[in-house]
Amino acid sequence: MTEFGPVLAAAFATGLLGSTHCLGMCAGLSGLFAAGATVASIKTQFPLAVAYNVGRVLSYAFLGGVVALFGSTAIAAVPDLAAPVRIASGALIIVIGLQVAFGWRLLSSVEKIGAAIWNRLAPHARGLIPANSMPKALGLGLLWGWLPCGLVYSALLLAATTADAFGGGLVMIAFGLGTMPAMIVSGLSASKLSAFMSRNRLGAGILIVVLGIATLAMPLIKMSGGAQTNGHGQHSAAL
Amino acid sequence: MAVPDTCFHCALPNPRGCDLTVEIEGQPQNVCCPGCKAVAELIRDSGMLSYYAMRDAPQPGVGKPAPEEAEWLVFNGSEMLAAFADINKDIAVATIYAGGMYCSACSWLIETSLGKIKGVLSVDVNPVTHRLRVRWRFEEIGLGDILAALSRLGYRPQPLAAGDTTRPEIAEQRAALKRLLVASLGMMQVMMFAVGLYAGDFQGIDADMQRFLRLVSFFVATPVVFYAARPFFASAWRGVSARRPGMDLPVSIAIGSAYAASVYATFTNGPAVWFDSVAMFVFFLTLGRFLEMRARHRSIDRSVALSQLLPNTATLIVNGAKKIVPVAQLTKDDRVLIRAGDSIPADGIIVSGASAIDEALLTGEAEPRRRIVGDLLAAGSVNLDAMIEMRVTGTGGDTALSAINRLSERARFTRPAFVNIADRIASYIVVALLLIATAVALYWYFEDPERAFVITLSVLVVTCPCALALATPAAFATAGSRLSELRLLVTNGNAIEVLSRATHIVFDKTGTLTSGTAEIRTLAVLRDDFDEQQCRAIAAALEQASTHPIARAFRTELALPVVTDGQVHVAQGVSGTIDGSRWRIGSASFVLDDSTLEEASSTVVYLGLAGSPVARFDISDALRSDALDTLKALKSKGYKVSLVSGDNAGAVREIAKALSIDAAHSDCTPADKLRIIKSLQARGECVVMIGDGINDAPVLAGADTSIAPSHGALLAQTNADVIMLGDALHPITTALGLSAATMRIVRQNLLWAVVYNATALPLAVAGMVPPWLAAIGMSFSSLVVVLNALRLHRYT
Repeated sequence: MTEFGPVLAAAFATGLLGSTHCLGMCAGLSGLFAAGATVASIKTQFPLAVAYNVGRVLSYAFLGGVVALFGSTAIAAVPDLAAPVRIASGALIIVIGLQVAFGWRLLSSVEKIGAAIWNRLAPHARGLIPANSMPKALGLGLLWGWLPCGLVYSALLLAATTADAFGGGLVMIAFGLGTMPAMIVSGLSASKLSAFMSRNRLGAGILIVVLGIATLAMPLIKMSGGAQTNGHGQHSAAL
Repeated sequence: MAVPDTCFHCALPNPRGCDLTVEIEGQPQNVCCPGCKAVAELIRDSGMLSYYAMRDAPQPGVGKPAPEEAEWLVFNGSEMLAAFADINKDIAVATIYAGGMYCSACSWLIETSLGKIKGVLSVDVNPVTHRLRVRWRFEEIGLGDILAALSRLGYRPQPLAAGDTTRPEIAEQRAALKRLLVASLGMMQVMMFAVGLYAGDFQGIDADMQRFLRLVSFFVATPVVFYAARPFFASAWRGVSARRPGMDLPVSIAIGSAYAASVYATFTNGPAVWFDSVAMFVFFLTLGRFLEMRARHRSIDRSVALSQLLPNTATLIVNGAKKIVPVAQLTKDDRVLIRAGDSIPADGIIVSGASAIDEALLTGEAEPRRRIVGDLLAAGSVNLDAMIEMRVTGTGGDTALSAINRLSERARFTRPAFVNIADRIASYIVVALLLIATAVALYWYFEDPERAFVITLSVLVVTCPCALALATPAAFATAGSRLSELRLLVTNGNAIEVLSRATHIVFDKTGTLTSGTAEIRTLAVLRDDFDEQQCRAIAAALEQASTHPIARAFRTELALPVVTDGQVHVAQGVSGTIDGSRWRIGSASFVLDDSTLEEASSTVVYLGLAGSPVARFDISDALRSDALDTLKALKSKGYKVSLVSGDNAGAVREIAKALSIDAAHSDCTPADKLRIIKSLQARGECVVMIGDGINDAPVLAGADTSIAPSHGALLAQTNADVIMLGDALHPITTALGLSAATMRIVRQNLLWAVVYNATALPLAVAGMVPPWLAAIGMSFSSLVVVLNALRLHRYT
């Protein structure tokens, strides 16, 4: 768990702090949940928003599990890859942090592939709008999880480095939970939030970078420490 | 309509070299990423293009303002800027209320449209409160231009006075949320490392790894201690310097010493660190305080909303000309024009026009009320569908609205005597705990010096009297906020405790049980040459001159004849000339030459022409619709009910019979009422007086506690402990039950806190509780108390 800790935290932070873009894209869309709903009906909209978000996170978790499964197959094929992969995930978190801080879009080419997948799903989404019932909101959320999005792909790469279907799903759930506050309140006070986010984008990015460094540091220290005391195996067993 | 280099969908800048487009109504539109493209296509294909239409509606800054918007340009003046904006160098910030904003698409529309105006730096819209905050360079564009742009979009802007919008409790809540966030993130991280460390303790861990984990824990725990836990240290210090140590003192000692000892151990490779316990302790304490604060603030939320819905400008009519002025400049008897959709700037009386008025903010009634000439309007309510003109009767501090705010302010500052006692006791308990902790430290120092610190730490943490200190305020705060949902405004902190003991409910005057609005029950036309409509119109025209409550029964929307030399005859009626004939309306003796026709009664009104009767009106004041049910419920719950009224025996008897009240006293003077209450109290009854107390304040004061129905504008003079803002009576029953439930929960909470501390203390003293378990135990006990109190929110 200690090794997962920073990765999960980083995934959560990525979701939480990186959702500026999501806000621009999806804020105000809560209007789609119940067309013409007034502010007075926030109480009825809130459960819908939660259902929709739960759907979205479930899709992420599924995707995370799948890519991590691929990851584990790849890593199993090459022995002694475990530690370097951890380091890679640390490095990846740092890159994500930089991406958030400076608004880079490194994965825009992958987004195009994602768009192709989305085109097959989109017709199903149409029938779910307006999502004015719980099943429809959940369904829309499940589909929304497949929307082409660079941030999601960054998190998926991270999930792949866990090389464990369960761990990958966990990483994506952490990421999804991170995006939740932004998405749930987006309808309520999108503007404030996105203003806050863009003001603190640099800080958010730096925070993620720090988490990346923490992730990176642990296997590095262990590798050096493990060489001296041979305590590596013992420690892993403890977890 | 999107500007070419920003995304059609999300309006963020498009990355360079991005050639993605989406076809909207035959036109290719640039988008920034495949995600936005997908969403835009989805919206298009679901037939929801109206979403964009709403967003991209008319672009401001183009064209001249329409004539009725030209008046907004008054706001371009520098005195208006000073009144409505905070100015910092060349940047102004103003909060604007935008009427007519209904959903989040509106906030999109406003943000994007205003954002495009040159000179506007940022726009933040809060769709819940219908307010937006604009920052702009005031040398480039005036406040009036921004307001005009908003009005062109179809909203009804209303600038709010600078300084109105920052509320201390909002800042408090924001700070608390940040602290909670830091504490929770910190706790999660430290716990994760701690799992590694504990596992290492059992199964062995290499020294470097242990050091690394401790070091990381140190970095994460530091902001938790110095930022999240700062209020505890501050409050502990305040307590110490005031020589009244509060419960934050042992808390601070525990946090401070555990942190210091852990830091020491980290850098000297000591045997153990307690960063996890520290972080957990701080997190749960912060969480408990946060929940308690939320409950406290929830009751305030509404009064804040009230004060902020008052507009800051009004359209004054001076000699037929319209002029926009700040509300602060309105004075009594000014004529004010109120457009449909505007909120009402001051208390007043309609002088022309009729409209539906939304009074939900004051009364909680969701249904708008039809208000016509002669009706009272309360500041803060909203004129829904037609233009009306009103004469101002009260402004600023004299309005019902500001009375509500003043009263809720008062409630916030009078703490229940109960809470004060708990605070005083807490002080002694804290001293006792510190003494015990010292004794424990000394004992274990001689017994087993290695464990002395850990055990003392556990004792301090586990016995933290947080649950004890939260037990009462959490329950009272929750009850207060639940009562405000029931449209009951508690203006005296002690009211809840007294209500819980109530045995006898005394209704003061019949008006409490009736709706308070007189109506014409029957109309008998006594001459063939007049019809009903004519009689109503003539009566209404004559009664315009009168301010007597019964005159309000004659209000009508019919076209009224013109009355010359209308004259009010006190306690008799009104006379006036219509088309050369002399009319009178009022009591039989006043109107009729032959007054032996009918016994004098205030509920029968005659309309007469030259001494002969034309029509006879029976006026009645209907019972409140839920009066019967409420009284039944009160009696079935075992409360005794009396009616003590100054009205005549007939009126009282009728109401007492309809509601089957046995103890009904009529023709009472205030002194009589007071005597009746005193005799009830002498019999050991706890008396709740329900009445407006406007003419008999001593009577209300004589009862153990008092509840007043709000009669709109008269609210300002009320001095009751609880005010019913709504029209319904039944919340009284709920309030009585809720008060009893509150005291029950307080007792449960206190019992729980005492039992918990009494059990945990010996275990901790015996060294059987490690610090982390102590932190969990302590926080569990306070959470139980807070959650138990929060149950009151659902009381019905």
